[in-house]
Amino acid sequence: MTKKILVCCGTGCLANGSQALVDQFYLETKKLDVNIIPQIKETGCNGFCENGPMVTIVPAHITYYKVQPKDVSDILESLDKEPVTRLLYKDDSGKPVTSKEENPFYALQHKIVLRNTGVIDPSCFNDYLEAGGYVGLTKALAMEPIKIIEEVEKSGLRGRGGGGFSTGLKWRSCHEITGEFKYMLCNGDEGDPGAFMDRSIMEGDPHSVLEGLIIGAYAIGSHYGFLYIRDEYGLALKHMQKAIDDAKANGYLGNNILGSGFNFSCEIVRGGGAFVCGESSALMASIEGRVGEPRVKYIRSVEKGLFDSPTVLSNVESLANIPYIMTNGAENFASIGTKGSKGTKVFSLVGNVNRTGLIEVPMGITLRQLIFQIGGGIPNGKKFKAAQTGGPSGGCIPEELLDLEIDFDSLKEKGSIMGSGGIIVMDENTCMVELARYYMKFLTEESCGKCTPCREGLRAMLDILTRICEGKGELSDLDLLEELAYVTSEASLCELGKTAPNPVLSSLKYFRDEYLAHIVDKRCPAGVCPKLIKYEIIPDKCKFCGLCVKVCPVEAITGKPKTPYIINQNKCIRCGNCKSTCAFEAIYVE
Amino acid sequence: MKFTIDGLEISAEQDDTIMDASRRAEVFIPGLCYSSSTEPTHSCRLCMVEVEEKNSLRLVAACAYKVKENLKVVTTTERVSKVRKTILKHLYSMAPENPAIMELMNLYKIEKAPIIKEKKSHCILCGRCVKACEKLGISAISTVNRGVTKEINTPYGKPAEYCMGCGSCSEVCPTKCITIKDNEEGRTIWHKHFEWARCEKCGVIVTTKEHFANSNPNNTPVVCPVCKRRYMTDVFADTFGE
Ligand SMILES: Cc1cc2nc3c(=O)[nH]c(=O)nc-3n(C[C@H](O)[C@H](O)[C@H](O)COP(=O)(O)O)c2cc1C
Ligand code: SF4
Ligand code: SF4
Ligand code: SF4
Ligand code: FES
Ligand code: FES
Repeated sequence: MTKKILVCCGTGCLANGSQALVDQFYLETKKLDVNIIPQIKETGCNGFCENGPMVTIVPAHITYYKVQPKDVSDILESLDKEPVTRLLYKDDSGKPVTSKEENPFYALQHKIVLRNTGVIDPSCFNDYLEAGGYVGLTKALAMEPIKIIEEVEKSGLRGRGGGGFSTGLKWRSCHEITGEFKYMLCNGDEGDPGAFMDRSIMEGDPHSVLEGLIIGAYAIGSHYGFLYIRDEYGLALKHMQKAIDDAKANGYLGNNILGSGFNFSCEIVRGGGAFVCGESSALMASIEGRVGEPRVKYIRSVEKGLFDSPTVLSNVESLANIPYIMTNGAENFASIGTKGSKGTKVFSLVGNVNRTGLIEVPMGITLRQLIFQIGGGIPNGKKFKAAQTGGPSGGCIPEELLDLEIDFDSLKEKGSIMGSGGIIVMDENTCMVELARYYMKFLTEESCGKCTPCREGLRAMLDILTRICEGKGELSDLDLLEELAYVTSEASLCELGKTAPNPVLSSLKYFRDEYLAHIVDKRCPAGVCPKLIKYEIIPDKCKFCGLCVKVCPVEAITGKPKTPYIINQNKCIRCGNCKSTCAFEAIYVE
Repeated sequence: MKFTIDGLEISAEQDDTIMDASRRAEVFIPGLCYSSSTEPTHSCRLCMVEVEEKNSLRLVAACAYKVKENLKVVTTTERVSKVRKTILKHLYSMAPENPAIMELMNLYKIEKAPIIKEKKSHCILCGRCVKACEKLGISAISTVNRGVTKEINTPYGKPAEYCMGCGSCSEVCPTKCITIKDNEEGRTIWHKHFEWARCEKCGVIVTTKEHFANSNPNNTPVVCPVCKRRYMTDVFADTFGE
């Protein structure tokens, strides 16, 4: 078997120079004996971008990290020998590991959606076919549409775009509506800041999304579709377009697909970039060329959606699951996950955690496993405080709930949401009031501003939270926050407004004492809110070096030789420069 | 079609929303972005009511929800009153002491304290002006920006290119907050000045020149309604005698 060298060329690794690495591999393999020349493949993201560029050798399954062009000759030389130890990942005990499975970042992962990502060349049609691609579609086209829908229902797949609505049921409602013209849409807008699961799927395995879209179209009886993809996603747009072109050229798209008599074509629409454009009615408005604002939906879009025709909108990750379900059967898929949430979920794990990246895990994994096993715990020996799930309109999950098995329902029950799968880990130095304020700020800018409770409710909540962070809060503010949050979630026109109060409500629920500390004691326990903290010098620890004086931008620090220095609190602007500069840890925050 | 609001039976026509039917029957549901003459925007959210669906109550916007046979609508629940009060407080913050808002504040006995103390333009962003102008086929104004910076304006805040100075936008505005300056010379609205079209017979102001030209395309002479009627009477007299 020919050896393959898989060079990760996802957005992260490309930024770390993996193109130069590919060039170097081509250059140096030219010198090798033709019979042993390994095949070089540029793959999609492996999820562990912070340790990229990554290189994997198959069939030996050796993965190297942070590979530079200068390492290429050593890798090539080692192909039939022992692996290059210095490029291997070291597990938590410091032992170098060769395969991904032994790497704690990958050990608990279960890949369905990302089954091909990082393994195949996403721009190569044959790679997808060889990996079992389009088997699901071939099978589906031989079935009655309603049988496909039954299969998807049986799998228990729920929409990965945030709502968690049963994909099969949604398809069924649209299937049952008689309509000449129906639309099948893919939501690739991914507006959550810091989220990149859908981007990675579209970049790394575009055909799986396309195959899911075609199967969906056949099931509901649609002959035309749109893929709405965020405009900044250059590589995803490129790979998706290539996939459409290749599928068309090979008879998987267009008229009479695979001789079945079924016709389906689709095109890409570039998303405008606003967070709210990912909401289904705003997305449809945007495709129609109108302002991307949500509309009232007492009539479901499966009846009256895009251009007032019956429409199904499914998320990128939801669609990428479909070929797997069709190929391997609903039972196989439904055997993974929890009672109410089947299959896996792709998460982006970021924040104060040792290992960050993109991971795919079975539904029902605990937060503790995610953060402490996959993520390797909190850096610098600090304590875990909370994890924000569900993006800006999600909620925080505190330490006492670390053993919560995460799925759609458990997160909702605890006041957060699954959302599209962002997990931000926060350590003890995070101020939960400031965090809620940060999300309200984001949402006041990203709300479309159309309806009163969302626009004004968010504005008012931001105003109150800012006051509390500045030490001007009053106890009555907490009741007011709760009232505003309630009305915003009840009366807003779209889901953005309805979920927007989550960060406020969940932090109030789990970290009320922190709000009280800000309001009553005028103190920020995490030492974050500038107006509520004080930098002081511990006289016994000060070695009179005077370095702090040099870095203070406002000349707030004074001192004489051989006497401890002093910070003038009236002048200090709480920038923290002095504390980070002091080599003797003589400065502390209060 | 029959349905009930708080037990009171009301009849509705095909495709009526709860609001359409209730306004016709003169059963009051508050709502500031609703107008029977312009396209709905569903934006103020003051009209939230509860409807019975599958044996449980659901909070919906009365101006958007279509009436079904025997639908039960309730407006007296705790949930409705909580939502209504907070939204009114928001509207009050945006348009303090504005008569239209004050009337509702008094009706629902809400304490007059703005949630945010800031000088506001009194525009509650209901969108009625935009819809009115759109209906005339002009679309001189629109909402610009998003989130808390949203406002009603002309493209780039420049004098509105297509505006004809008809004043319909200001007419439908519930808070009467669109600045419109009329004097002897003419009218200023949306950063643009218009000259008056005066009646050729009596000199009274009819409307702006642009508006008159728009509604009377064939260079029709400007005549005010009073003179027109008098003229018609004269013609009538000439033809049929005294
Ligand atoms: C403010 C807002 C933003 C959203 N952004 C996205 C998005 O970026 N991608 C996505 O797939 N769904 C997004 N959704 C959810 C969509 O409205 C819709 O439910 C989803 O695309 C349906 O696909 P699914 O059933 O496969 O999840 C968003 C919803 C809201 C309210
Ligand atoms: S809830 Fe927010 S985002 Fe949705 S329509 Fe209302 S203002 Fe716009
Ligand atoms: S005055 Fe101008 S902006 Fe207002 S409705 Fe008339 S044309 Fe439109
Ligand atoms: S100007 Fe008046 S009509 Fe227009 S959105 Fe504002 S309040 Fe409504
Ligand atoms: S791009 Fe290589 S690991 Fe993400
Ligand atoms: S009247 Fe219904 S939302 Fe304004």
